[in-house]
Amino acid sequence: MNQKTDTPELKENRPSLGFSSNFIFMLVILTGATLLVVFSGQIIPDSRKYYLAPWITAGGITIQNGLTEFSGGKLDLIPFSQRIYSLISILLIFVIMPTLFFLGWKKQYEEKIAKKDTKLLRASTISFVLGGIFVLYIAIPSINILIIKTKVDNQLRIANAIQTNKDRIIFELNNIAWRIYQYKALPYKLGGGNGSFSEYKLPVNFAKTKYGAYTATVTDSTVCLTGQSKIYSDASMTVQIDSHGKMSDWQYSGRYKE
Amino acid sequence: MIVIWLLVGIIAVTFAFFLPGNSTDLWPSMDTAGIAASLYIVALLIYTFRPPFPTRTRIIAGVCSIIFLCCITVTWIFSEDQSYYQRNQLLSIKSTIARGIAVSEVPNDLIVVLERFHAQGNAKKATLGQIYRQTYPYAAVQSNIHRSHELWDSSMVQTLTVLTDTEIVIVTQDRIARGRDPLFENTNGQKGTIQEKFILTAQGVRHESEN
Repeated sequence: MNQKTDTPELKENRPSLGFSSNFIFMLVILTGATLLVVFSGQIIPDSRKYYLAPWITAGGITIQNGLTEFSGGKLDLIPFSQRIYSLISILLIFVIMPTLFFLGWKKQYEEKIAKKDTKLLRASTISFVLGGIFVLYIAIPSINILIIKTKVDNQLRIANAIQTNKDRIIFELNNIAWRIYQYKALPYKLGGGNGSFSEYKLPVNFAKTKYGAYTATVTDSTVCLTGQSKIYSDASMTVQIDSHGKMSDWQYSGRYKE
Repeated sequence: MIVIWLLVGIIAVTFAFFLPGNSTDLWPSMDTAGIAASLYIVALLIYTFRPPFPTRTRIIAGVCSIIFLCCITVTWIFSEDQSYYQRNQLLSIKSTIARGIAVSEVPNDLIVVLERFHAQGNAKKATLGQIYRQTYPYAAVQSNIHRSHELWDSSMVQTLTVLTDTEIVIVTQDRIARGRDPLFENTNGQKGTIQEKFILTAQGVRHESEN
């Protein structure tokens, strides 16, 4: 009998926990989301931990594909687990956290206007704070990252352009070199040097191309070839050709030296 | 309301992510998911910053959100562009190396034969073909005569296609490096890889860049 009469009293006297009605529900969701992040972090290899920048993961895969093709390997389909990690990243950055932040903010504002539920630890506060931390963590550095990325991208393209031009000049020097060797091998009657380089003159179509200008300094048994870039006026290279057509003693100057 | 928004967003973005199907590249999935996610965020912003938010707050928050969204989008596009650029650059380097190997190796090997042929003077005792066989006894017609020095030139194939008394033809290909025409049919049955042809006669070496 005592129990029947004591129970309502206990309920009435129970101290308030300080949480709003849907706080526990939100806490469970946030705990679940956090566990998901932690759990996936445990099974992802270190090199793939780019949760907050899935574009880096995708870029890495594309460059890796290029390297695989370069070395003659076969490209494989992306593993399902890898795709799931990328999807989780996108969902966290563009869906889950912005939703928590913006709708938490909206709810906060509406509650403030309505002057109801002013407890500190209410669902909208947690949602707003957690979402806000994450959104700002992603958003604010994005400006800095963009500026750095633009600079790095520009430098990379300049370096690649110089290297491409250098490779082209090397290729054209190789192309000239075997023709010089052929000149020495052919007899006079076929327009050759009959065993000597001394009368060799660089044909006009080889002396100036789209990429560079070339000169040949000849002696009886060797030739010094110089290639000057047309695009980078300070960049040039020289190479020696011996009596067997072998190229040696490559010297680079200007931007080709870097 | 938050749960409904979360569910709609997750389903829409997940659906968009898996729409292009699996491939060797992640970008198609990323891009479709990114478009869906951007539309979702725009809808979320419009929904959030309606009255009763004061106009000033709505403008400031909206502008900040758009700036950050633009920065992330541009970073995304830059990353995609840069990764494809680097990949193409690697393939371009591969092509340059392959052509470089062809031009630096094959003509010189043939000119050695040419030099010996003309060194006989006017009374030629041996033909071009005979001198070639003497110089390169291992070379058989239709076989790969390329001696790979390193792993990076192991994809090179140099085929002796013609060996007669008056003409020697070597066709060089690379199994990986892309040529100018992706539809070009290589002699080894592949499509679109580089192919250089060198023809040796008594007049010298003729070079034809076929692809």
